[in-house]
Amino acid sequence: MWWKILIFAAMSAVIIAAFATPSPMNPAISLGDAEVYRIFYFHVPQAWVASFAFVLSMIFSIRYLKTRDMQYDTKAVTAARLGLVFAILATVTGSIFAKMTWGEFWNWSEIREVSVFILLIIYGAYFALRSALPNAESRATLSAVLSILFAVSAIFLIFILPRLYADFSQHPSDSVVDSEGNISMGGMVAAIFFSSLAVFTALFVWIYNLSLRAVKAADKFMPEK
Amino acid sequence: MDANIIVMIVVLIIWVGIFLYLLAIDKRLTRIEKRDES
Repeated sequence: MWWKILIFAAMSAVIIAAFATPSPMNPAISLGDAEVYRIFYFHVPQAWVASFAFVLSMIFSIRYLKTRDMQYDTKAVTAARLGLVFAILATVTGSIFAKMTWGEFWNWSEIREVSVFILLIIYGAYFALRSALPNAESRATLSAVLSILFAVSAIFLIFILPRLYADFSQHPSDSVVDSEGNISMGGMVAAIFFSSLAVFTALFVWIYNLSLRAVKAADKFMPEK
Repeated sequence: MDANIIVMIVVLIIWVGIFLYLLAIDKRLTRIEKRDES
């Protein structure tokens, strides 16, 4: 129980610190209102957790293909499901930021928004395909192959593509690390940001565990044929 | 009141709601697991 109270206290502290301290962006160089940049404390950790979940799903999918143990399929699909939820949250917070700084919730010429849209579509397809296959084994095998392909695509879409076409993006770059790999934040901003990153990861682990336990409980009451 | 404080209170309320919901699911699952063991 103590770690749940710790997650609650840490997230509450991050929220209070994110709004009670000065904006992480210098008002002199900010695009739009500098206060909006506070969303960075939540948006980036959500995107990080989504990426982490997709990679986790890929790892369990590889293990499934090696062992053919159905528990890895359950773990992979649970991670992908949560990854999609956090990716949607990151998209929503990103859109709010876009509206407040660039004037539009969505812009089809913005490479970040287009790449996240493709990401949401491919994981939507992953769940659509899963639900279309009645046989548990063929479903697990196809899902595992797709999960590996999609996780690699997710890394490309989140981290590589937007940097390759940085000229097509108004998204703030070098906000966490600069081009030389050094942390490009002040002490207070870095402390709040990395605390947020840690607490979002802990929250993901808790929700992931709950989801797995819920699937197990459901399997006992409604075993799949 | 400062807009930052208002947004902070709204976000805190949402967080408390999410936390209590997760706690309730956790408790319910623990109860089901215990009943299943016995």
